[in-house]
Amino acid sequence: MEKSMGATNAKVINHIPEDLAFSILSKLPLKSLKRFGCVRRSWALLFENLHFLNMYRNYFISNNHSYYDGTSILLNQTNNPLSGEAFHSTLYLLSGERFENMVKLDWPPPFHEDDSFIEILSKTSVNGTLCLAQKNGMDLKCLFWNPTTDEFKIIPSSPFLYQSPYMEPTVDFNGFGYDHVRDDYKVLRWLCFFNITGVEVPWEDYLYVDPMWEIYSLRSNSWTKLDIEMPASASNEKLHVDGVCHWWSIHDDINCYDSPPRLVSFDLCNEVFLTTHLSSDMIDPLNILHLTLLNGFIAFIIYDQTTTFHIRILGELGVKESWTKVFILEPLPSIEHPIGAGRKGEIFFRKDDDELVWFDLSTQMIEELGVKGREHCCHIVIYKDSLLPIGGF
Amino acid sequence: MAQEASSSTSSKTISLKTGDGEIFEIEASAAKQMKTVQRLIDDLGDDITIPLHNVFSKELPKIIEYYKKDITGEITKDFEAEFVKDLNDDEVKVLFLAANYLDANKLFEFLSQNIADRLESKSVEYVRKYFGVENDFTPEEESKLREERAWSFRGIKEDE
Repeated sequence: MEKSMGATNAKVINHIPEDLAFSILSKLPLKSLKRFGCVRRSWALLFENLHFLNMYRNYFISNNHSYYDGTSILLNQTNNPLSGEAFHSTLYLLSGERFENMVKLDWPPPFHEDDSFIEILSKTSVNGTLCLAQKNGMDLKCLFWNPTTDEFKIIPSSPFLYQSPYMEPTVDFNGFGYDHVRDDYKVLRWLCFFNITGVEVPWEDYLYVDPMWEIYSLRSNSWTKLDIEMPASASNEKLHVDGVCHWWSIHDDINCYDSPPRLVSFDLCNEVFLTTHLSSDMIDPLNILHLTLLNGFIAFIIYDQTTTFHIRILGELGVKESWTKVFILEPLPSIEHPIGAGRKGEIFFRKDDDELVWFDLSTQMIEELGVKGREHCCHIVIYKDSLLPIGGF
Repeated sequence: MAQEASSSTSSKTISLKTGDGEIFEIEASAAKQMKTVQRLIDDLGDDITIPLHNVFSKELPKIIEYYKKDITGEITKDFEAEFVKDLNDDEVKVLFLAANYLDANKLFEFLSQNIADRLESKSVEYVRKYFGVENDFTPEEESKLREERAWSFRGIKEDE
């Protein structure tokens, strides 16, 4: 429909044809897209329209989210030892368009003697600093490290670990991140206490220690107990984005009962949390969930024994209806499980022969990295280097 | 101007005539970026004034301005922001449709992103009018959908 507005004026064209409309719609945030589903019938089913979905996927993959500016990819790999061999965590810096350059980085001195099962908290860096942790029986190491300057700073022990001589803690490092309000680095931990086996507790010394959350602040250089009832993590996939730590849980708020899986998001600045339930079609007892950050979006990679991987991205925190089906990776032969996502639509996986590979969402090609790793012990970290001293202050 | 047998496009200009009869000059290398124009040049030759029936004197200079910057590699985020700063939503729409007609891909992609940015917080009604589409839901269907997607309406002024 064209309306002429006078000979010298441009014609004001009312109608934008659907395929042109898609070029605009595919660039909108999910919240807007869902709202505009109410414009007309064909727009309510945008994600089921293959033409639109392809445009959305292309834009999704090629859009460089600012989170990734100046970042590189680190691979924290654990070997699968033969009997008698020890476990080792090895840190690689991956670079090159197809990750053809892998440079091994040395762990800082506290890990030189024992480099097994080193965890990089929240798979992120803050001002070039990583937070590393290692649990070896009773020995707990936690430190900040800048791989570029080699500076490291050991985090002191928490006064809450050994509240009773008869109970020992199980520690779960939930997250590391940045509080931009206080310009502070924080580490979040979950402690759960058990009777030391074989030790008889005298009646008068019996002290039940409740599970608790604690948070470390670099500025105060101390651990504080958090008075909060928040579900603990069900997996190793923990993320940090913009001052919020994310993980997923199958416990209810007080960690007593099993509940349907949900995303837990803890704001490091005001120290409150939000849960986002998964939509019912994401939940199935046979499903395996892997939480990751994909091109700046919180996403779940959902898979089962069939090696088909479904990717759901979150449109809005707290809104279970906003999980959106964006990608389905058709059966990828021999691929066992994801280990993380890169910066431009690369998803890293481990194969059943231990080979670590990456999948390119735009070309659908799989390439080997040239290193093998142990099941569920290899992780991808998005790293942004900096020469700032740890804490920057 | 001396004409060369082999087309050397670097300093040659092409004449474009808008639907409302005005003529504008564009460098041949910039014209190459607009596939529709290039096709017309291939068919009609580069000496003839190329007629563009669906593009008008209000939009064409702006489009030429964009591609002038493009061929010198000077398109930056700042330039793009300036380029659309004083345009209202309807003016951008006209440019967008013109870019589509001219098959000017880079400008088309940039303008579709700009329109998406402008529409992000708009109401359903505004978007319907903007795209010139009819509401084909029944009242019951629409209210049910709005309820299901209530979260996507939070913070949005419905009359905007």
